[in-house]
Amino acid sequence: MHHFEIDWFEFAGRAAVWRHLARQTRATLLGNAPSEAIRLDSVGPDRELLLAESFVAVSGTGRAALHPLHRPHARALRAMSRHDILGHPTRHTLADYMRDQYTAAERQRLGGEHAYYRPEAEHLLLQRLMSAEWVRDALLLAADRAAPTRTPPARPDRMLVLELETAQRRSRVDAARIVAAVLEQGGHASIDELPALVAELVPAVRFSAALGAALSEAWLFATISPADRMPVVTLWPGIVARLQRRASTAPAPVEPVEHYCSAFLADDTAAVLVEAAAEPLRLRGNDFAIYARATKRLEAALAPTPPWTAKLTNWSAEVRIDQAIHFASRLSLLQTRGEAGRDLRLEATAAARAWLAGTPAGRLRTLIDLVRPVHEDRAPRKRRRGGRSSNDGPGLFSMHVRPAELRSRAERAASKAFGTLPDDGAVHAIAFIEHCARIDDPLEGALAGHPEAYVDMMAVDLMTEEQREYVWADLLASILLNRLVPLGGAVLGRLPDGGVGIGITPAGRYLLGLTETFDAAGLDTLAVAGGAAPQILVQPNFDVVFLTPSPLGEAEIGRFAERTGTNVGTLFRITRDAVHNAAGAGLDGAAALASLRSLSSQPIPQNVEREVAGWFNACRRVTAAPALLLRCPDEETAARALAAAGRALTRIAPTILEVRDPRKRSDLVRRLRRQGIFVDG
Amino acid sequence: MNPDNPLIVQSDHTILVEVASPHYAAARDALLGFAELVKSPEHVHTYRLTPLSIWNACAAGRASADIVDALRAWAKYPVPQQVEQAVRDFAARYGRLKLVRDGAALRLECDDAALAEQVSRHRDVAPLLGARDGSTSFRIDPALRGRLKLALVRFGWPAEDLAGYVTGEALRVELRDRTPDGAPFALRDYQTAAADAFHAGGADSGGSGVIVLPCGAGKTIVGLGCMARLNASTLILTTGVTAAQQWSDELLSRTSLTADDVGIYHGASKEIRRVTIATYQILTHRRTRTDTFTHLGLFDERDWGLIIYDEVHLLPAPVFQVTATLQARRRLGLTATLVREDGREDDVFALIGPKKADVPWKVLERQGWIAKASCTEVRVRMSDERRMDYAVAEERHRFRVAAENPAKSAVVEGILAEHTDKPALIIGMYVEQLRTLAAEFDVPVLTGATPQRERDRLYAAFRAGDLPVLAVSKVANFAVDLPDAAVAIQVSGTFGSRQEEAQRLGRILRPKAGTNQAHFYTIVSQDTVEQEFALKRQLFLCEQGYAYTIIDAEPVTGAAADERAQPPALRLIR
Repeated sequence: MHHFEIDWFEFAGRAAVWRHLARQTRATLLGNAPSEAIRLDSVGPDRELLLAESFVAVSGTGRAALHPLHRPHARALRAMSRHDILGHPTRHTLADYMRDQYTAAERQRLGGEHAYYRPEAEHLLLQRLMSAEWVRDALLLAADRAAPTRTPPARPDRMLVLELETAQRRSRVDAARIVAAVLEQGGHASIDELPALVAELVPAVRFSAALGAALSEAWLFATISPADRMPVVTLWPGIVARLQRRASTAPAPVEPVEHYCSAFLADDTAAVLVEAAAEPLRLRGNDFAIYARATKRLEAALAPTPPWTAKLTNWSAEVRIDQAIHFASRLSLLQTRGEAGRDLRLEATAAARAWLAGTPAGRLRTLIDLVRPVHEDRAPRKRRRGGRSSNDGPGLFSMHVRPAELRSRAERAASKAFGTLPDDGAVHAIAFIEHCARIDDPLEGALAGHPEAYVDMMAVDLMTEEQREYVWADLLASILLNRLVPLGGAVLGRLPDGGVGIGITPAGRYLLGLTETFDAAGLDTLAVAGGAAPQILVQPNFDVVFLTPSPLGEAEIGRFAERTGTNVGTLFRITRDAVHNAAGAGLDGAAALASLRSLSSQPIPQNVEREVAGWFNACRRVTAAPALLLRCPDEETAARALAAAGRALTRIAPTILEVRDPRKRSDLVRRLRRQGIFVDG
Repeated sequence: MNPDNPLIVQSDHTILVEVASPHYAAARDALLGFAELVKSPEHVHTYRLTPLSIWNACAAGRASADIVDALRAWAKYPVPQQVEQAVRDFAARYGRLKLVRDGAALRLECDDAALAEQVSRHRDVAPLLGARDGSTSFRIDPALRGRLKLALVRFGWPAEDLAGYVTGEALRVELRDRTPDGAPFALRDYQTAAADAFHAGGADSGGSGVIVLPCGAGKTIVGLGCMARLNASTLILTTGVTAAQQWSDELLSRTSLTADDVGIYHGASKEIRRVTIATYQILTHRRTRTDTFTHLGLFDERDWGLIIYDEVHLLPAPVFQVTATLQARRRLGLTATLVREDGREDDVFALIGPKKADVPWKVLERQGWIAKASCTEVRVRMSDERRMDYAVAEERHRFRVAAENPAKSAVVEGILAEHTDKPALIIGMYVEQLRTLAAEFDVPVLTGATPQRERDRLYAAFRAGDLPVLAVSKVANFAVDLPDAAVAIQVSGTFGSRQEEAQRLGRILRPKAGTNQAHFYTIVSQDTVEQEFALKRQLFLCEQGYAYTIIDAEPVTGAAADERAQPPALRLIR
């Protein structure tokens, strides 16, 4: 170590004198380089004490400077003062401290095996040093619970080495005892008081070596207390907080004042497909994103989410559209056509029309099945069409977790965690995630069987326990926000304190693989405060008014009506264009009207029903195909051509003939040529 | 959330009112003072907050806080913050410009120099300002008062008009309590409320405005009520001679005015009396397109204390211009359908005055003041031959081909057969079609070419019950009082005119004896452009709460249609 190779027992003694110095004097000494002259008039009444205790010496020329005996201690003090570990316990502070106090070789030793070849060695070292795992071994050692070290039989030529090793082991044990004592003191202790504090654990003669070992192992860090400018040793503050935190308890039930539950991903997917069926979504050649105009149209078609949910979520319109396109593509409801820069576009497939024509529950189930975990303990199933195996990309998790065994383990743990959510109540969302992340750690031990275990881009074997807890919480949060909530699996609740509560729905249990079926009918009523049925009115002027919010109603009606508003109010206007778009996307008129009837709290006006049915009935699907036509100069030529070609031609106008099979064109041309009819073009 | 409250205030400044709410009536009354009724279909009515509606509320003495409080008090969900802010912002602009009298001239006063500067630099306002009188005041030509107010409203800085009205020549007008034939007469509650809202106790905040009441609800009577409150000479402008005569009859039968007091000013007779009734046609008459309007001087012939614009939605452009110069006189606009296809509704409000009363049609229907009407659209197929004519017709001619579909006559016959006991009108746009139908059913036809005397005779015969069926062209769209007509069969219309559809329904909305039921049929050719126009035409009435029933007539072959061999179509339908 650069500055801490000193006699710590002696340093503690001088620190006791240091305590008697005025704060200003301490600051002056800390600010003074060891070789610099000291202005004694600036230390006031401490002058005598400094001289008496050999902190300062006056030369024959009258120049006052640090006493040569004190200089190593002064360097150590100044080194401590450069890093405010207690005041600013950040990664940067630690990085500076490590670079300042430790040699490269020492840092490599502390970094372990990864410190030698990984480019992120320093990052990994810092993670290790800030982790509670780092001192947990020391604490076990201090409690005599560390694994016993085997002592080899003594050989005369090895005696010196053995004595050295024994001394080192003893110093480590002593160091661990100091760490435990400091932890008991709240995580840090003044160095001047430390010998007395550990006197019963560490004899005075071994104190210096023990503290040196504790610092060398980076179990303790030496710094200056910002409160009293005294030298202290401390555990990394984050570690102290973690070691001293109370056991986690399950969050208590809360009473939301407003609820929100909507399978809006299903609605968004429907909106995207309806748009794509009406007009393919053109993609930009450079980034394969859809053009802004189409994005704007789609944004207008998305059902809104209550503003208070933004406290927990970040569902921007772009994200929602991307998600919907992603799901639709995975289910082969959308397919990319064309080439980059040449009419590259997303088109709705025939499967999309079938999907849109399905019931809300059926549509939702298709999406849920795409992400639902496949647990081995369930009866083996045939692989779903358009579904996934357990190893072909994001499922329950919206980020990559590999290998499959780890993902399966994490999915089970996630299902178990969310399975504890109340069905008919709510708990604080963030508290719940934090609690779940603390009580279970499915990533722990992942290294044993799978050295290539990764979550997203992070290798699990390199994670500290804090990182694993953070990553696990992140995974749980991503399930909640990217799967459960968008697919109607969780009920969000606005809490009186501005927080957000969560509960689980039958769809959520199904999504997590906890049940084998679910009833989607309950989804809609959950969106209404108090559970009242939604009030939706269809007016004779084709306006659709929502007197209460109904996300399911919006999703259903949005398939064949133009959106004019959001949440409550006049949200839709049924127009011929919108109906034609819906029909083009495969929606059946009877299904649309049935849906309208079931949602409307009053009978649908007859004129609306009649017009909507008429608009749907007027839709036809025709096939476009290129045709090869022969344009004859007169009817006589056309008659001769017909006579020559026989069934190969069909007359579609007096002088225009269609070639039935364009592939036989050359044969036809030959036959006509024999009759003196020459085909140009 | 207050689920019993009827209002949903939306962030686009529209307000939905749930009719089924127990607090509907109270909330509606609160809204009328500061929001415009946009539509009132069956279950949910729509109002809109506009700058003009807020400024009119301010002119009537309401503060922005009152408006916000009223919205909060009746809203089902929290009022969007931006709506509250908009109300405050709009209201804050009112009163910063004041139009005041300064001797014979007027003066526009601004409350700060920067605003005066801004106003003086506006392209449309600057030409209407006179000399600058200090840093915050401008002289104004009284003749430009209306145009200036209109320009300032469009600019977004309304002027508070404190210049007052001229009282006009005094004329005692009292409402009778019995008509000459002994029938009791009194204003209905909504008529009294409308007249009071217009008069505003004689304050400057009243005295000009528009009253919107359904056809058949007695707008003329409201006009009489306003005259009785002002007691001043009155110029009444209306759509035609028949309507002018009806006004005259009403004035003589329901007020203390005598024949000497009331004159009709039209082509044949030009009487200018203390109450003069003129037609828009005569006022806008000129010999050539470049000539001046000969009769616009009527506005200055007397010191009118009130000008009534009947069917104000039809106000022609020249009368708009003159009205802009008449801002010192009290003005009353009457209409059932303030829907202008030229989009100048706002000009009506700006030049005549704000909406003072607007009673939804269905409200009066429920109270029995107008007849209940069932609206039916009958779709008739065209014969194969006609269909081919339609298919090959040019785009602009297709509507007429569809509208004049001969197969409609079978449906007309069926409808007439259904309602043999009720007086019926066959209404159409194309005179030839009407003549054909009239000949077929042996009924008289009344068109623009029918002399006035013949028109009066036919109307009188219809009113008396001597004529059970009358075919009329669009001359009978407005202001013709045929109280007993209970069935209207519309065989063709002016494309997608919502206003015409509503006015035609209005012909049969006078209260009826017995079930008080009227029937409005519109016959359209199926799968043609006429069907699409019909959808648009029906919009206004749908928004007033009328629900159309759409039914199909039986398929009619060309031969059958021509020979009219099949039974009446409606019977087949039922």
